[in-house]
Amino acid sequence: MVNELINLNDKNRIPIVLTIVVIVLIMIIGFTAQQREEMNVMERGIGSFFSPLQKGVTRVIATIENNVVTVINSSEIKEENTALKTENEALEQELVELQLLREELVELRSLQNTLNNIDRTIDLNPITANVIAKNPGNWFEMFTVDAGTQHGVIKDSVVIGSGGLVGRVYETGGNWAKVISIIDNSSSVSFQVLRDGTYQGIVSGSVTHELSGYLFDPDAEIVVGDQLITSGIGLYPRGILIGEVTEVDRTTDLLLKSVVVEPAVNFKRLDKVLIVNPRNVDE
Amino acid sequence: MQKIILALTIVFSIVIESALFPFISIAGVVPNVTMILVISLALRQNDEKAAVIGFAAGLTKDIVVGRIIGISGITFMLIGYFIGRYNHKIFPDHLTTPIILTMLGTLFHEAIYLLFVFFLGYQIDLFVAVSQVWIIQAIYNFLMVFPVYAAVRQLYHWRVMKKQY
Repeated sequence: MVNELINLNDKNRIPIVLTIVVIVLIMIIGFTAQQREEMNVMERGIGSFFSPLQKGVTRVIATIENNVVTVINSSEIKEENTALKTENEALEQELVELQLLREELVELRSLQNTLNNIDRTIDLNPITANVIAKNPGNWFEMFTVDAGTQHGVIKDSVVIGSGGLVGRVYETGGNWAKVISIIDNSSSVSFQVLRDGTYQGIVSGSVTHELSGYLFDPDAEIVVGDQLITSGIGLYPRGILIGEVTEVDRTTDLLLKSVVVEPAVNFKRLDKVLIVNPRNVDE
Repeated sequence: MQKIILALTIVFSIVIESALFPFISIAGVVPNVTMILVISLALRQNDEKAAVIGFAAGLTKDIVVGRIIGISGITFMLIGYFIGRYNHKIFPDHLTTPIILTMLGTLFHEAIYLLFVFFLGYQIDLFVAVSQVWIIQAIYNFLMVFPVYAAVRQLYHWRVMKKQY
């Protein structure tokens, strides 16, 4: 068999090698289609080589972009705007927390005696990271950040941007990690309505990068403008802002109420993100 | 030397595609610069070298930014091989050649990608895929043929690239 391969003339050799490579690659596709525990050494190495290059390019572009904005706006307006934005973000977060606290207090007090295990809140030592690259393909909404295992980022860590939920960590390398956003096709997040925590449901992303979902309760009173937060079921800890409802539909055939959600985070202009470890990491 | 320059070109292409072009995406679509580079290079190589270039570029791109590893490796390798094999029958120096090949390559790459994504169990709306993504992708790729092809042509004017080892 080996001799035959070698004796083949040059014309036939390349197609045979190509076929073998294609078969091997299809096997690799099969292996990597699911989320893996760890990347292999080669992937880590290649990623670590590319990470600083991508970071450099992104920094330069972001700086140019910021400067252009500054030239167009006067510096005063920008300063004021930044201050207001920061204040707004802080207030928004505070609002979420306060409303949650009020509900939680009642709930938790009654639960505390009956349950030994109290839901953990978010780890208070988040890792800051910069977005350095984006997946250029059309089917997945993924990006790369410049923090990895060296900085303590682990698989399935929760990623938060300015104002709300961004996604989760898919794979980690030494100084880089791939993150899947919540607007990705395969992502789904369980939510609750901020105004009334008993209304819960699931939102998921799509190919067109829209966030849409449905409520478990078809009679739930949900209106346009309602804010949605994570409900704490599943991977994401409770109380992170997801977005605002922009459309409510009652699909009669499905007996479900569906919603279209405008994410709180602007995924086109992601720059800095916070990474917090998943809740049950040391349990 | 030629190999090092080719490798650096591919690295550069992957970096700008993933770090620079997301800033100037059209409706969320980023041009497939690395594929256009593979096509432009393959027009000046024999089938074996072109297949190796396509394989290396595709697999590296998959590893650096991709979710499923290997799809671009397959498509870029096959694109490189077929162009490398038949480039003596077409006119590699005329600008319409890379344009037509880029359109065909885009169609082939996106179709294979969609096929894998579909059979691996991701929910894809085919109508959206064809109407919104493919058309914008094809237009943006078309626009990017000019700078990439010109850059490759310039690259081959270098004396180091003409030497054969």
